[in-house]
Amino acid sequence: MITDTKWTSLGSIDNFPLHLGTCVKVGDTQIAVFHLPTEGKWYAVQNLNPINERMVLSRGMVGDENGVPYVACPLHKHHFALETGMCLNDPTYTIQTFPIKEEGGELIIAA
Amino acid sequence: MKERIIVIGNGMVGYKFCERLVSKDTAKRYQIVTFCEEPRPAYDRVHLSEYFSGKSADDLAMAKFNWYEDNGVELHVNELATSIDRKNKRVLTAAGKVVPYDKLIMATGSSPFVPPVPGIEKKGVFVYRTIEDLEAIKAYAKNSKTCAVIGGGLLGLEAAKAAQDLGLKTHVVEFAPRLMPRQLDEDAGIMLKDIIEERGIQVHLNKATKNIAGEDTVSAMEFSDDSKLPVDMIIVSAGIRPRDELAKEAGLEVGERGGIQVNSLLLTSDPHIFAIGECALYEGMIYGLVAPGYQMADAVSDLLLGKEASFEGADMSTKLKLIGTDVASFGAIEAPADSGAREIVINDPHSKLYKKLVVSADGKTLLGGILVGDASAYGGLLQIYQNGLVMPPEPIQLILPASEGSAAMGAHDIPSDAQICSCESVTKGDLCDAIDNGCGSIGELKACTKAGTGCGGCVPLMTDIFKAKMKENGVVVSNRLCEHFDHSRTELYQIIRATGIQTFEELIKKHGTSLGCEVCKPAVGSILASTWNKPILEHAQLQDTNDTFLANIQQDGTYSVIPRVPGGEITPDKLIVIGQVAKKYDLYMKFTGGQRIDMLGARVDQLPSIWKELIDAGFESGHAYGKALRTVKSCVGSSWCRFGVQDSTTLAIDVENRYRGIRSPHKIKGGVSGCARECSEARSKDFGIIATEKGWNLYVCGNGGMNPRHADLFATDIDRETLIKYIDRFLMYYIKTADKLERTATWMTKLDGGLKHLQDVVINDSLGICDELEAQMQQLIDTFECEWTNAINDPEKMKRFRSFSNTDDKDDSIHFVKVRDQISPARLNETAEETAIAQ
Repeated sequence: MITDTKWTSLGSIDNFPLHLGTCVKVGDTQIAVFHLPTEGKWYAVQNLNPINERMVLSRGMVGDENGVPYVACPLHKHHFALETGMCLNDPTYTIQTFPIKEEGGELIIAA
Repeated sequence: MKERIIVIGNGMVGYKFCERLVSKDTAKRYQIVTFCEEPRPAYDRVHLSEYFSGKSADDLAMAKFNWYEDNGVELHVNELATSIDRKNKRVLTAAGKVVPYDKLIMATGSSPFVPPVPGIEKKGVFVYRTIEDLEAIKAYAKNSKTCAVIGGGLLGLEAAKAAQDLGLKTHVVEFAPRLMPRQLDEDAGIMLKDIIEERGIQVHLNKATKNIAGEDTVSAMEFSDDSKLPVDMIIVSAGIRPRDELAKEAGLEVGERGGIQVNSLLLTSDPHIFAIGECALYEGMIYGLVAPGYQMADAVSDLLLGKEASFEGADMSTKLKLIGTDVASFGAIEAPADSGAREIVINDPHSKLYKKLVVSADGKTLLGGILVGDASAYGGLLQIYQNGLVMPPEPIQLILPASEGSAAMGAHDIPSDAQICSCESVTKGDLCDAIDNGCGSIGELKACTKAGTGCGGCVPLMTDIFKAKMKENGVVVSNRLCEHFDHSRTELYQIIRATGIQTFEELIKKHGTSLGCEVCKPAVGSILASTWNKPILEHAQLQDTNDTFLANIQQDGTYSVIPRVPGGEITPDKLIVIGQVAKKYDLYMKFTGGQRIDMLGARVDQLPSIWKELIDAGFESGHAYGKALRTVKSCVGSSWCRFGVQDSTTLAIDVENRYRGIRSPHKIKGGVSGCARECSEARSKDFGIIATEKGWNLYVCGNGGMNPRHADLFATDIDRETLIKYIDRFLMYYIKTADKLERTATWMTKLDGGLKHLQDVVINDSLGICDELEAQMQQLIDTFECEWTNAINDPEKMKRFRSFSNTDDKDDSIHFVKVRDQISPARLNETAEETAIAQ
């Protein structure tokens, strides 16, 4: 249980283009941020694809599989669910997800 | 109370047993406990040598640690089972555990056989079985130059390839007079030896090792014929010995030459103990291949659930890629004596092909065969052999090269009980049932039946069966784009053009559902681009990373930079600029196949400044990242070449500039040759132009992709104006009607009427659309804009070319090593230090 969430600002939401992924660095961690305006939702997941061990997920395309939003790795199209972090092609892999939200025109993340 | 099953050994077969039982035991009748001597759970030993070509131990794992946990399988790694107390039905382990069982499965596998040659214990002698063995070999190889592999069988040749890949001068030493003596006959053995030696591995046959010389470490091998081979290290791969010591000690019956005796129910002499895989001895045979092991695992899992099953021997057929060459054999490799059987042989030392069929005296039954150099016929032959199908009247047709119209085995001719996937024991009937139950794609069929997920060799046949069955069921294989659109690409193209829709959001809202995916987004992006021709970044979210960053992503997440060099013509000044830019940013340089220069290893944040320098020097985007026209290759033609009959260079430059940047269903390439000698290889392109005395010949729909295809002659001796007109119409018709990611070659073969239809549309205007095609092409040509110039002049677009949006830090996860004086992506986990030591 997260009881004492520490939020970090990622700057103005204007720096995050619609639909596309953006990479941010919080401490030493690379995090991929996605905005799905049609859903009105922000997602944050680790930038590292655990399968090929490359820092690339922020550059993947977002889509949905039976209504589950995911990011597809730009290298070999592994699908990772944005909500749960589960790899939809191989459930033995999961990536970390981070709470993220908009507050007063700024994007803030708990990482 | 659940019954407990203990599985001793967690190799490929031990794991497969757990997997099979877990999936079948829906009533959760059993609890499985498995002991594994190695430090990690089961991994794919068949592809062990891929560990050297970059796969990690994790990549090779049959299943991750959490698979065991999630499925209630209690896995103990690093824990050797030390004895079996049959009387009390308990297993004792090295860690002192005492675990009772209801049923016991011996899946202890085998160990490499190391011949008792004097000196074999010296430092520098290795076996080839586990990941630990490979790690030791890799470490020792760093200080070695030469390596000998003892044993010229399957595994020995695998090991030799691995040694060669580690940079060692490699020898194979075989006791028998030929390589792979169990699978090949003499002539096939000679062929394989020639092929292997051509690839730099020296083969020594008829060699019995007498002594291994050296102080503490290996320095040479000495043979019984008194010859000598100096080597730094030795890998022993002289066969396997079943691991039966535990069984023997527990008083189970074992064979004279090793192996735990089992009957056709895979039961040992104790009715509570089964043995499967390489430790099991069935009718005097140890099966050292994975497929029979899987069959045994499958049978035991059925038996435990009260189903009928048995193991009655297995086929030893194999197909492998050894040292880059196909080798396969099945059934009898030679005509049995006095059987009247005949051998049909193709032995072509020039093309390095050896194919042999052994057929019955009446020519109707296939008894066995060997394939070296090209094993594409293997799948079909195996079907005939295993299912006793009647052979065609001229059996040689089955092994003739494909271009001569070999009689391939049709999906319809295969009986329903024929086994298609031998790794997973899936029959044609199983596949058809799964299709009837709703599997609508090859992917679904694989997931549902597991067929094609082992060695993958059956996938082409599976695809044929899938297509035939779908057709039989009257199902048109849907060409809907994906789950988000019920339309094909062509239909969407027409919708977009007719309605004037300019964005993906509008299209999916009106004609699709949900968010879209990486299949429909780029397809729609491509249609929007080929229809309205706006800069690609205006709909960046539809594009794959290549189009969003206007560069090709590489395996390490960096990008490549390719400026346009029309027709392959470049001035020294421009060439110098490319060199200077590559040097400044320390990029890797290589010529592409399309007569231009690739610079690789750029980070996203470097791309804009690299491109700015190139654009300032007069370059423009080469669209190497897009499904678009790439290059038009040319020779020097009549302006320089003494054989040239037309100016191919000028034409190529004009044509490339005419169609540059035009988005299409797949990438397109062109070529122009100045004479019939065809130095530009124009006939391997989507459109090819070859000069004649009277004008130009146009060829269409060739490509050099996965299935090379020569372009077809489309029009002869036409003048330049007609030529351009035809290409305009041809390309536009392709853009309008092809499916997503469909190359021109596939597109044409699918067109009703093929080449003739295409000629009718483009030359005779049979559809009355030529004016429209030309006008649409002209619009695309008129609205061309260099995408990189557009991007670097737009601060909004430039915002995204940063490693991180919230800091100016550079991405420090990217590392390079030096290879041949240039950068190369560091392999996973490879640090700069390690490489420095290796050199």
